[in-house]
Amino acid sequence: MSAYLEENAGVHVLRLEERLGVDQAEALAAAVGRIFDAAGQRLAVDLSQVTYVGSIGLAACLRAAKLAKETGGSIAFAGLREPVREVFQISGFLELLPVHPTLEAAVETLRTLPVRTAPAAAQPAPETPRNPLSIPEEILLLALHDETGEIAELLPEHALEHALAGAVLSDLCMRHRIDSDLKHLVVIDPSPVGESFLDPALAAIAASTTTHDAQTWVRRLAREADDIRQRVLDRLVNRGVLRRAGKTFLWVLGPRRYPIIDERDVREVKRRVLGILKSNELPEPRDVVIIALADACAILDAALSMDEMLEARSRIAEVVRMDLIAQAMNRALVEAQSRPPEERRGIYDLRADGSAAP
Amino acid sequence: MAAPRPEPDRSWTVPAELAEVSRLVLEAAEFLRGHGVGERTLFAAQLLLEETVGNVVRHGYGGDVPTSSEGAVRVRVEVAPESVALAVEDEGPAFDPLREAPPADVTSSLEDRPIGGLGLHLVKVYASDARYLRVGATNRLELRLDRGAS
Repeated sequence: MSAYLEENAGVHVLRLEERLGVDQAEALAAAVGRIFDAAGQRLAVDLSQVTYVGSIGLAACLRAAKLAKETGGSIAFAGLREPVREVFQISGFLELLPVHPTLEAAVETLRTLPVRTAPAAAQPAPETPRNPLSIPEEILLLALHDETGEIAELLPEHALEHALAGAVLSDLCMRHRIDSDLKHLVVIDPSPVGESFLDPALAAIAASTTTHDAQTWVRRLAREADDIRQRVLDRLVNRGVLRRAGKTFLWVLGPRRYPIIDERDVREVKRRVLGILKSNELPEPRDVVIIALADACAILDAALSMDEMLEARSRIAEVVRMDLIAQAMNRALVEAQSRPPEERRGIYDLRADGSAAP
Repeated sequence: MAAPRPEPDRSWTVPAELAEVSRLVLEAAEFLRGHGVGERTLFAAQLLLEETVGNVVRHGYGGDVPTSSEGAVRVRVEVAPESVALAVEDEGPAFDPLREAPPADVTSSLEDRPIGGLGLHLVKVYASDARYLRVGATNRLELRLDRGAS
């Protein structure tokens, strides 16, 4: 199912085919994401060939309209057939979305709209991550083998435990619930986040009568890693990203694809990470954290090929240096992993700043 | 040679994947069209199947899916002169979609309008009758669409 995109007098035109089901809704979302990546874009969506729209397609239309508004652009839907118009009406869309009888009318209306001054950049509030998956979810997905759905086989056992512990703390930091320097990790806002793999940790830190440092919390949370991991996996299944198949987890939409979760066309974590490591662009803070955690716990080694790792070595070090939190986590992980043998259950190499430590 | 009389019902067993849901909806539409079901009923049937089967795939399996994921969701479509009957079954944890969904928002502004949450609203509008049963370890949703006017 493809959507046909063309341009008409400065207005983008997207012609949809008959069925706006799962596949075409994804194609619509992808096209819309690209179009409204720039501010002030105008899009006419030609529905004249569409005979069916399901709830997924409806959601994609709504997201498109929201994205248009957020980026100072405009959207219009044209040529709705009767059943499509009816479902738009039932869904309360006719009051929300500009609808025109013909494509020509839609294009003409969009073309003659006054040009808006550049809108204030639609930056999401700091508490709302741009990528709706949390850091623990993305770390786990990064550690997931593409086809077999296995995690444990890839890594030394404790690597994932510590990565998850670090991910939970990092995520709580990014949501402004906790903050940490070298000596103290403190709660700045105890209100729950609403995730079963984050809130218990937050509550534990808030309830602690003594203030501890980050590495102590990493160590404590790492002991709960089985529980955390299970909850994260449940959440991913719940979101429709993964499904259970016996003891393993497989991607619902096929390897390394996210279902439509949010307004933006979100790139899957491994592709994002590779993209960052291959470019010189400034990564977003949360991606810095993910790369730092994954590197410290050898997840990157498992996720990338040897050649990719060799090429990316210095870029990884550069990215990791960018963020103090990531560095603090890194140090905490390094030290948590090098605690005395009687406290550890296994022995493995770890890399921090390119050196191996026992 | 006379064409064989078509069967009035058809069943599918669908693995719990969105791509399979898509395929199911398409095949169900073909089946119904082949039995002379009208456009409006066709639209409604597809919408309801996409929504209800899609929900099971997205949310239903909190527990383990059988290793052969063949048996994840069972769908039956039956055509009668006056109505179309849909039945969707899954072995997930007990969940009554007719009750446990929050009310739909169809009035707030564009910024405030939530994505999704329309499913139950659409089921109520498009289905003439809807019933949920828990049969042993199975969730069963039965929907009826009247093939009446338009």
